[in-house]
Parts: sequence; structure tokens; C-alpha cells
Amino acid sequence: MWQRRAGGARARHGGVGAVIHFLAPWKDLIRPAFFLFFLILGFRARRSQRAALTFIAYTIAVSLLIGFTQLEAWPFSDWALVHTLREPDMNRLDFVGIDADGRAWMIDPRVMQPIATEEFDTWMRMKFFRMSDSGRQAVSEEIIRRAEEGRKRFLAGGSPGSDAWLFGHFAAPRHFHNGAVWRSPNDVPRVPFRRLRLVVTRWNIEQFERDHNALTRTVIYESH
Amino acid sequence: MNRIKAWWLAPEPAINVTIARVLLALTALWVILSRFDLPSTLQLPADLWATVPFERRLRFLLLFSVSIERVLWIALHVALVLALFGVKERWTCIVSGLLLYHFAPLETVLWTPNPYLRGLTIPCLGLLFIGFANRAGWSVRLLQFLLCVMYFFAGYSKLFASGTEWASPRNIRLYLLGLDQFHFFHTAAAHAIADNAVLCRFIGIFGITYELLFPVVLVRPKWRRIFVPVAIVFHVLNSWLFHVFFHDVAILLVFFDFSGAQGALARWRAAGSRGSRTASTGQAADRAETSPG
Repeated sequence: MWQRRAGGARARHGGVGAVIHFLAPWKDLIRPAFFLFFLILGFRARRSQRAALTFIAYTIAVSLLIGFTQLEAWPFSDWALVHTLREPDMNRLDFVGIDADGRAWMIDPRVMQPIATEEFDTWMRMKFFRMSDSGRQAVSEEIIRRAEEGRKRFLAGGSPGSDAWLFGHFAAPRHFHNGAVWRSPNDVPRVPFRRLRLVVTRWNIEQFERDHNALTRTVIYESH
Repeated sequence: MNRIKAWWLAPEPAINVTIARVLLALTALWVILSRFDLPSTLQLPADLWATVPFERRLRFLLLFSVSIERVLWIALHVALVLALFGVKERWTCIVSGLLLYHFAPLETVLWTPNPYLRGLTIPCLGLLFIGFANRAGWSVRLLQFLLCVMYFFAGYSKLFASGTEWASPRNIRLYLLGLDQFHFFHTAAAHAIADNAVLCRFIGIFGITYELLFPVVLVRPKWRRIFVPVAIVFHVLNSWLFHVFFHDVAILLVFFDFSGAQGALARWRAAGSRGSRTASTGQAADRAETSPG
């Protein structure tokens, strides 16, 4: 899902932007330094009221700094969520498994758990096609392996994913929780998955709302 | 300034600190017990991990073998259970917080070092607050501040990134429909609301306004009776309509003073025992044919 920022509302004004640009090469050292300093002050906090107030002041200052600049220094967060403008055109990367009989089946994203669908999808978009052919093949085989494990679990009456292992339906959902792709045994093959096919499904939100066939599917990759 | 210092350093009823610790530990346990064998993420193909910058792994000390990570993962569960029951509270809270710092990024590290809103950010910081404070009340106030910051910057980020257009009916409609379509749902209520421009505008304006105003509960305790229940409803509706789940809803209870409830419970129990003593005294008097007076 690609989202755009409203150009006029980007508030990285000249001075702040210049500082951020200057510090960018050191960002992976600066970010953990916020937390390291937090720990140092934290361990000292119980020594005196002054030490406690120093720790509190530092935590407040860093939280506000990260929040107002919208930079990242986890666990100090910018807390941005669903904050950009939604584009009307959407696309989704679907995993399709080709079974031993050559038939194509949608793979339920939950098979990748404990890796979240949202996270793996984003990684795929950013990195998958920059890998070597052998690298892509290795990742494809891993997806098929997990899909196969999920298929067996599902046909045995369980969940395709592993999140529900203890709490079942009461397991903590993911940040963006997905509806089920596999809803009945008819949604999965009886024979093993053999290959992976990546399909980009594209649609316009308004057109799809009127006609659920108004989408295009393009195969962008197929494993060996 | 002295008033601000006094506010931060004021004593807090012990029960409120205990409740905060319990809620943080329970939330973290719920999330990590719903992420079976998260360290197995490290067993993804080496070609995949080669795309993750080493500095990112170094930042969170994601450098050990899967075996060692599984031992640390079990240690996190143990530390959280001990923290839940207040065993060696200071150190179990600190260790839990540090291990959450180590493991939470595993959920997103493939593409970002920022695992916020996956359920463990507030428990990570909150447990460290409680561990460092060693039962001092400022840990609860700092946790309340963190929650206020979360809501405020959720609203701020929308204006920062998108301006007031974020609250437009068109944008809210596209989010309602788009998220529903993308995640394989068909939520009738989301589609019905999306067709109503007035409701969409209300959601947009109310959402941002509510988020920006939330920090007022830090200094106006009486407003918590409105803002906190509204927050709970807000998150339930978010989950239902937008399919965005907030794991830390229970932690919002830290805004309430449980010492009052504790006192009321004690008084109720005392009244109950006085009543039963009166009843038994009366029964004894009846048997002895005397009055209890």
C-alpha cells in the first residue's frame, strides 16, 4: 500500500532539515544513544530526588523531541499511524502457491507467523527484487515451506499461523489484522505446495466498491 | 517550578503502582505469548538477513544464535511472570524492559527498526519506569505522560504529514474502504459509514481533536472519567472499522486511582462483618432470650 504525504504539509523546515541531513550518516549511532542515556539516568534515578527529576525531565524532553520532529528513536516513538493521505489506487502483493498438480492457490498470509504480514510484505516490496536470483529462490522456498506447514495445520483443524497456539481466537492480533484467506478446507490443496508465484493485485478503491471484479492481477515472479 | 517538581515527586498510593506493574506485565505477556517462537525469525534465509543493515541488528543486540535467543526469550517470559507477581520487583521490571527492548524490534527489523504500535513499546518503557522508580509514584505519572504523548502525537502526525485534509470526508472514506478491501474483510458498518460524508467528516475532526486534547487528563483528573472510556470505545471502533488494533488498552486504567476503590472495598467488608456480628449477636441474644443492646 503506497501512501503519499501532502507536499505542502511537510514541516521539515530549512533549519531543522539541514541539521537532520547533516546528522543522517550517524543516525544509527544517535538513535540508540537516546536509549542508552535513558538507561544511565534511570539506574541513577533512585539515588536522590534530583536524580529522579533529571531522569523524568530527560524522558519528557526526548519524548517531545521525537514527537515534534517525527523522527525515529525507538522506544521513543513518533506515534504516527494512518497519518498520510490515502491514495484511491491500491495494490497488494499476494502469495500464490502452485501445488503438485500445477493448480494455483492463494496462500493465507498467516502462514508467515510469527512474522507479521504487514512487515514481510513491506520487506518484499523494498528488497526482494534487489536480491540475486539465488536469494529470491531461497526466500521463495522459505515461503513455500511455511505455506506447507500452514496448510497441514489448517487441514488438521488448526490455524494456518502460529499466533493462536495458546490463546486461540484470543491471541493478540497484529497491528493491522487480516481477514482469513483460508476459511474452509476447500481453500487449500490436498497435495503439497511446490512453487511460489508472486502476484500484484491492483484496484481502484471506488471502482472495486461498485464492482468486485474491477481489479487486475499481474504475475511478477515465479520460483523454480 | 516547585509546584511541578512537587507534583512529580508526590507520593502515589502503593496499589496504583502495583496495578500499573500488573497491567504492563500482563499486556506484554499476552503479546509475546501470541508470537510463538519469535526468535525463529532469525532462521529466515541468510540472503534475506543480508538485506538488513548490521547497525540495525547491533542497535538491538540481535547478534546471537537462535539457541541463545530462545534462552533469552524464555528468560523474558520468566521475568515478566515474576514482575507480574512483584517478585524482586525492581530487577524483574528492569530485566523485562531490557529484554522487551531487545525482542520487540524482531517483529519489524526486516524493514524498519521502529516496532511502535505492535504492543510492546509502552510495556517496555513502562516496566523500566517502575523498575527505576523503585515504588516511587513518579513512575505512574511518567507512564500516564507516555500515554498522553502517544495520543497527542498520533493527532499531531496527521496534521504534520497531511494537514487538515486528513480529516476530509474523502480521506476517511478511502481509509475505511481501502483498509477493508486490502485486508480481505467486508465490514458492512465500515461501508455504511464510508457512504455518509457527515459521519466521515465527524470521524476525521473528532479523531484529531480528541487525540490532541487527550493530554489534558494529566492535569485534570476529573476529565479522565470521560476521556478514558472514550479512548476505549475509540480503539474498539478502530479495530472493527479500520482493522487497526491497539494492544495497550488495558494500560489506560493507570489513569484511575484505585486507592479509593481499595478504601471502599475495605469499608464494605468492615460493614459486612459488623452486620454479621450484629446478626450473630442477635441470634445469640434470641437463644439467651436477651437483647443485643
